[in-house]
Amino acid sequence: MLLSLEGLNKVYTLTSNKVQALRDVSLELKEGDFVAVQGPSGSGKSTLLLTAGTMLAPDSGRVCMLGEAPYAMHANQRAAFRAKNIGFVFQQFHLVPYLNVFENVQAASLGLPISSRMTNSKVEQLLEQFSLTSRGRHLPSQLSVGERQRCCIARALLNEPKLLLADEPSGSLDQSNTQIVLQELRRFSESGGAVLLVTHDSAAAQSADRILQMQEGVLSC
Amino acid sequence: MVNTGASQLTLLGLVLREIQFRKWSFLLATFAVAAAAALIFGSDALLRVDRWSTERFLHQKQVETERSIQVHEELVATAGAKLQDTVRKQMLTLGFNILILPKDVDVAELHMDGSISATMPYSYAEKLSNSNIVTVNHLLPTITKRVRWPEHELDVVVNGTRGEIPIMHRALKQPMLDAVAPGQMVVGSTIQQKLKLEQGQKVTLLGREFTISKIQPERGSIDDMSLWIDLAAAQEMLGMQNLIHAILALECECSGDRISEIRREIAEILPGTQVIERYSQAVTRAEARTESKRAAEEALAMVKTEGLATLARDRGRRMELLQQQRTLNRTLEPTVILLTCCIVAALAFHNLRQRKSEIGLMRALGLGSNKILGALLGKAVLVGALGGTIGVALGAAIIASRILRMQSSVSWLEIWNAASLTSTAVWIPVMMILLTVVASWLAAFQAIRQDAAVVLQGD
Repeated sequence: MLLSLEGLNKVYTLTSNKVQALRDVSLELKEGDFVAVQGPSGSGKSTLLLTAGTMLAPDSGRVCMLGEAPYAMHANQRAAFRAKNIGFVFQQFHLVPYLNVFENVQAASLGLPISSRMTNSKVEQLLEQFSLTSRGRHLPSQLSVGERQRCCIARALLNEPKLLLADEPSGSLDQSNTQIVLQELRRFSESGGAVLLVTHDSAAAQSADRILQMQEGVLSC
Repeated sequence: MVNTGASQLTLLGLVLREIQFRKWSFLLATFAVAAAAALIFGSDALLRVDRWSTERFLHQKQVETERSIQVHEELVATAGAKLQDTVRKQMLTLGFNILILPKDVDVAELHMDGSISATMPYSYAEKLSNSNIVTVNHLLPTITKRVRWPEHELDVVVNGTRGEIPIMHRALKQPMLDAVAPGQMVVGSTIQQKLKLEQGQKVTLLGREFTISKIQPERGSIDDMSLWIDLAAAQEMLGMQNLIHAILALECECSGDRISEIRREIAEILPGTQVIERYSQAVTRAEARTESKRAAEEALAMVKTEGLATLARDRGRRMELLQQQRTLNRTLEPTVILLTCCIVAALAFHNLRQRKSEIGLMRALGLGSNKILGALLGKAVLVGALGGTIGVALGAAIIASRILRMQSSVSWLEIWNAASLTSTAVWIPVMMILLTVVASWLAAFQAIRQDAAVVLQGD
């Protein structure tokens, strides 16, 4: 099993209100899975994604990935574990504004030890794969929205992760770019990786093998 | 394939790119640090240069004072030696000024007749010679008797003398008066004029023949009517074997009541004698000169005291100025450091706000706290190092131009080395690095503590 989430609960305390983002959520992903989680805004999808991505510790429940419990690790160890095994794709892209496309992709290796870092030829291969070769020296601000998202996916794939977590990756894209992104996610799952796609877009969710619904922190089929 | 020519991205590369991207923020922080470094270097360097300059000034002043004192000392010493020599020469010119006579001699007789009737044994002279006497020099035993020179029908004072006898406990001195050799005669100037005598002429005195060996220059005293022959001959001619009338002596140059001291000392050695002093006006003059010497020495002491006091006053004033400057620096430096800390911290927090998403992303990419902290503080180190170095260079240039205007005789390098400015130039950039790191620490610490998940969710 690549990823196993068991009975996750997460509560946010916002001033006097408490919001339960995850309610006893359980989910299993194995290699080759492409799972979409669909639900309205504020239903807990992003929380689920970040918790699965070892970025946000649940209040209770158990996360297990590749046979290890990342939240039992020291923060720096967990960061290294994340760098090696998980790739993120965000709706807001989160590209570093002062690095060009090539360097933004390269940046994914910063979390790895120098000896394990990917070579520049791997970066070039990804840029070619995402039709960004001619944009290698351009800053994110000089890219179109679709190019930014492709750059973001290239960065997520650089370290050859086992799990790809995509948070509304097509939220800001036109139909054509949406198709490209979804095709890349599909290709990744077909190559043996697992994809957890979080979206409120039904069309995007249709690309997945399995669609789960999230409503007020509860995950259901 | 894209030909980027890029190398592997490193944390330092990340820092440099960020600086390049937000250059105004970096320049502002660097400028603030440079200004602080320039101010701190400038104030510290000024203090050090002033300290060095003060030491140099005081050293020069001390050398000048010591040289002035030395010149005065040399002048006084030269004048003293000259005075002593003058006095000695005067005393020698005046001849013997101390007369040691038998106790029962009537001094009036000596003054009226130029001769003495009372005698004392010749051994008195030997006794004095063998004593430890210190108040007189140049002992000359004599016979002095007024006689009629029958061969020339002239009254003269006959002096029998054998030459000076040395005082045994003293170093042998050059005699003031050469002994008159047996068969020879020295005559006074009046006698020579009256009898038209010449040096080398043979004369007869009381049936005995003498050759005139010397004619004394005019002295304006009884000496002008005196003649000098060998003591033994005089004793024989006048029937005074082993007897003398007087011992002539020259007093030493000594302070205080000289004559009383001489009388006391001679009375202890030769109880049956009396001492009279001749030519006291010369001694008075010698005393006046001794007094002048003493006054000169006192003036020298005053020069010394005044010179040293001026030096101490100058030192005190300079030290007071330095202390004031030091006090000012003690207030100025912490204020500047605090102000710079505030500016750097404010810029660091502003920078953090701009980089919130980027830091969240780094978390997602698996960068640990240490690496993120390194990236944030690496920039602070660069700001501190660059600002510190520019500030020191700027401060040095300003100080150099100011100092060189004031002290054109000394090179800047010489001042730099003398005032040990290298250490200041090194520690200020180091201090600025620490300052920027400390000032940025809070922002950096907050950055690594922020919840990346919240940032990445965009909430």
